[in-house]
Amino acid sequence: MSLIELENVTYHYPFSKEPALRQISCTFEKGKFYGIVGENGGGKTSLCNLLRGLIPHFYRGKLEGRVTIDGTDVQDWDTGRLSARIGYVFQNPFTQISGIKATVFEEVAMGLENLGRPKKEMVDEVLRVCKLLDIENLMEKSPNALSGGQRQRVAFASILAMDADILVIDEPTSQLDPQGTQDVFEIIHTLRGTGKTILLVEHKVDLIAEYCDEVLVMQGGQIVRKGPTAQVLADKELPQLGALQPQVAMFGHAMADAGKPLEEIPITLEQALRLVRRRRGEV
Amino acid sequence: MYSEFVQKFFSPQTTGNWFKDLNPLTKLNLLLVLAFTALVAQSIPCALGLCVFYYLLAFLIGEFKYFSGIFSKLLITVGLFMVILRQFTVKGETVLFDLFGWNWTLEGLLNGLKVGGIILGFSGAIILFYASTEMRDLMYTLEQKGVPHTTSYIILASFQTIVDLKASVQTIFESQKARGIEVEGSLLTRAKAFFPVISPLMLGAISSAEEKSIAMDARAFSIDTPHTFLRELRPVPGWEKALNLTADLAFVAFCVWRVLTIFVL
Repeated sequence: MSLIELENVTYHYPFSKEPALRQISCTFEKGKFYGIVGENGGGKTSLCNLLRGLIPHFYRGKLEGRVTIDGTDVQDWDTGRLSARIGYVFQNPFTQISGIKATVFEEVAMGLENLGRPKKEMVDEVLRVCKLLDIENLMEKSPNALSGGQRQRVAFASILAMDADILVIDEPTSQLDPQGTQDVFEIIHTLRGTGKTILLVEHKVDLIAEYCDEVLVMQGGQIVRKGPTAQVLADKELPQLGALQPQVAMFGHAMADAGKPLEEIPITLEQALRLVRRRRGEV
Repeated sequence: MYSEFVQKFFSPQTTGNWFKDLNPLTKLNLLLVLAFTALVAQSIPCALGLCVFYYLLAFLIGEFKYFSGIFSKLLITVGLFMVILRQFTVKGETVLFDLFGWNWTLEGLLNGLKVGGIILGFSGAIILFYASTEMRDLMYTLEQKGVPHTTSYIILASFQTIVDLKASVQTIFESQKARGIEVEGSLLTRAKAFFPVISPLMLGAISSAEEKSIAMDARAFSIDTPHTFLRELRPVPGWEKALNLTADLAFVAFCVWRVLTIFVL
């Protein structure tokens, strides 16, 4: 059985005539890393809100179809319980900090306090996560005094400490400077090996190409492509669907158009270098 | 083996200062007793004594700079305002001096000092409480007493929001300045610059509030499991309870004495 299943889901935000999501049907498997790409207003964040249970519990609106998480309809999930099951990191690093904790250490522990974990377990878990995300040097600092990138790292740490099985990450680098973006890339790299089910919304397709098992392309509230990362990102029609294409994939297409095709369309730089070397007979 | 910083969370949080380490509710009780004493006493020497005591206590707890910065301003503004105001509203016969045909009377001066003293005696206690108590400690104590988690969060977050809004105003002002709009200068110039800022500030605050509530939801804030606390305060010792009780009884006795002196004796 799939971890998350969506069946003919259509959703209208309150007071909105146009649906944010239209007739969406798809499944998400346990332990896989999914990338979600697409144009602005394509429904990516709405899909995240749905998977996170914010739709219909927080944003009311009109929800049609069926969404099940671990076999239970999303409408029947208690939001508190669901938040322990599905972690959520979103765009704005400044609003993800509680604002009521004096140190990063306490900030990261906040979710565990809410879950009622014993103190020893809480401390050990916070230390583990801070080490994992390399924020041990920030532990004694005030969360309100951190940069955007550092706050985003703390937001990730706070969610990871809760040890949710599923992580929904919505454009985590969109408001960050290059250093902050690099920090988040490192976190994504770390998460890759944790065995969690991850859904990452991101415009930086190079990141998606490198880490994701499968990619969904959203346009006009619909999923217009879904499949293995190499297949979806190599699709020549991707720009017409409102999604960016990795530059190396565009290079692969240009080579093919010039009558010098590579063995396959590359989606990562490493792959492109390998294919070019092979074409030149170096390998 | 934990670092010294982490190890601190395994024992009650203390500062080493006897007054600051009192339970927040004890501090609140003691300071409210003093505040209401000023109100009930309605006497200039009592208010004056309380003001001196507040300064002394602020010095002893290492918060003199913070306390005196706020309280001294209040002392001057409220004191002056009340003294001047009472010259208008209180009729007196003992003229102290004449200022451009306006008679300043002893009765008006004493009344102004008395009312000002009550306000200062009351507000000094409140300022001292904020100077000596971290809000998170107060909220922790209230939660232990059964106040809902959500209520304590809203109170704490509201304090932080004031800081955030101040920062937002500054950011908007900087943007306005970059566009060549005058935001500094006379009161009128500042007012003219401030009004257009209000709507983006409020809209930003509403949007932030929505995102913040989602962020809190992501931290299992609404889960029905009993919460635990990483940071805990020391249990209230017997002597502190006795101190509370003594202060309350003394205050009740003082009130009774005041009523008797006014109406019976």
